Amino acid sequence: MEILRVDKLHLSFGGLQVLRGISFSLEKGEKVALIGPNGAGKTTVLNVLSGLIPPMSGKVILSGHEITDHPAHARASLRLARSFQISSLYPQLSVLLNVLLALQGTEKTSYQMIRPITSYKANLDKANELLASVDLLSKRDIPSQSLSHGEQRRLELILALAVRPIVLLLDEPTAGLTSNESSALAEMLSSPSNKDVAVLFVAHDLDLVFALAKRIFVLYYGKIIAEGSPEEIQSNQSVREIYLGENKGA
Amino acid sequence: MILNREARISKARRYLYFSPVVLILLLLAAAPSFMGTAMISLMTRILCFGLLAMSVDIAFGYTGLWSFGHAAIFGASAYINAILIKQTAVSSFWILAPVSIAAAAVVSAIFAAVAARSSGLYFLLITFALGQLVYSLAMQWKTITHGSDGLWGIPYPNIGIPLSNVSNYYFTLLVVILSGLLLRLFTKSPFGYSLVGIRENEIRARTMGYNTRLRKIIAFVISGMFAGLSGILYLHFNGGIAPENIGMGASGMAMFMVVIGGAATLWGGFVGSAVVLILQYYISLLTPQRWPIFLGAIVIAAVFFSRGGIFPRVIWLWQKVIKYGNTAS
Repeated sequence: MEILRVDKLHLSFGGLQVLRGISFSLEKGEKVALIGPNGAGKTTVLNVLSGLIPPMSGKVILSGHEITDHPAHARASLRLARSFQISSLYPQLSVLLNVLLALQGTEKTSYQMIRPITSYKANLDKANELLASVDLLSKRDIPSQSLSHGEQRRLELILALAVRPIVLLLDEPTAGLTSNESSALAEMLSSPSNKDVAVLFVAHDLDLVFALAKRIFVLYYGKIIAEGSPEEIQSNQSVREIYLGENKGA
Repeated sequence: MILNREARISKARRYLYFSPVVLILLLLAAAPSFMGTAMISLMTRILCFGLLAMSVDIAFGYTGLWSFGHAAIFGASAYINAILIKQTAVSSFWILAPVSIAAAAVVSAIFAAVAARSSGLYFLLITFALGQLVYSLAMQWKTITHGSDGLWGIPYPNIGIPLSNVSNYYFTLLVVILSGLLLRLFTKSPFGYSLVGIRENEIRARTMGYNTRLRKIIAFVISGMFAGLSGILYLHFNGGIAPENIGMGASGMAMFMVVIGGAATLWGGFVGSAVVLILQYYISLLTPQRWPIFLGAIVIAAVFFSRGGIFPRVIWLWQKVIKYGNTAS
């Protein structure tokens, strides 16, 4: 079942064409990697899909509804979540409050002005459960800025998952992680609890790409130049030339 | 047995931790018994500006909206209240205060709707400009506001029982404490924390589903309503209101109070109000013209030597004292 469709996205910054007719779709629960050299426009694709940058033309359709003009908060309400390349947390708030804010973001109770945020037991239990799943429960009361880099990356992922997404956009989720931490993250994303979550992730970490992705898009100067299974991409000559820097004659 | 003993110790520590609050409340309650009229007036002024500073803290400290227009909202509410007292037969505080607070909410909503598209310095400049518009209105609309003379002859609030200087102090104290407690609940609520989230990382908040623009407007309006309430209390205490009370100087003063006391601490605004107004009182007795120089020096000292404000520093010191006491025992 198709959950996300992107149709002919175009975007320019001044005279620079950043996205040139990007089109692709994601099935329910599908894990797809978006790879390409630096400056290819990968993060920009995520910014457009999450509503942080409006495209100049093209369409974004989520669960059959066109969301091209929806602001970021409305897309989150439709269960489209994202993480950021550089950890994007609430640094002075505790780890627990970071997760509670993520859990209540799309709920009506987020407009409640008198009852303490910690008195919502269901959210508190869920937050503890999520933190336990990434070994951060013991650190729930310290400010998130005091976490190590690896812990911040894990919290970053939890904040995206707390939205209970149907589509999850991850920008370099393993940046700065050890290989063990990267494997744990790949395991977590492919675990049964996340089997219905469609994931589009940007990564330079090819171990993660090949461990998690069933399909790969290769982006080059704002255009998808190749698409296919990891094996197909590995043997694609254009990709080898452009992305891996191999010459035809080599 | 051991658990009971530990529970008792934990309870005792809790009482010890909050004992300064009880002491301050007792001092505030007993103040009229050992203070003269001038000091009671100073205390009432501190309470009025403390509430204004707390309202500024909601916008500035918690939400990250650098407002330089709160004195205008404070003034709009005070002027509406004064005009209604002067020009209608209604004098009941319980009728006029809600009307004036509603007016403050409308003015705040206009400020926020115009300024919420911007942030940081631009938000400050827009609220400053809108504040100056209100100030100009108070100066120019002489038939209603009496221009630079202002509106005077406003009695203590008509709450159903006659008030004196002392009883008005108690009434103001009660309203400010209740407002502070209400704002404290607000800051600990899901909505309150969402404002801190917006201040800390607006893009992240948007991607979590928060309509940040709407929330900033709501926060500014709530903040403005408490600024309006402080304007009403000040009007009755002061006996009137004039443009000089609602201009950029007053907005700057409220902002200084928050910075000196500690932004995003709520009660820090109250501490800032006390520090600024007590120093103003005593320094002005010695050298009235040079007070602004001292105010500048205090702000610079607060920024350099107590970054984060006096209130968090005092809390930190008190926690150290308790910890030291526990270790020693």
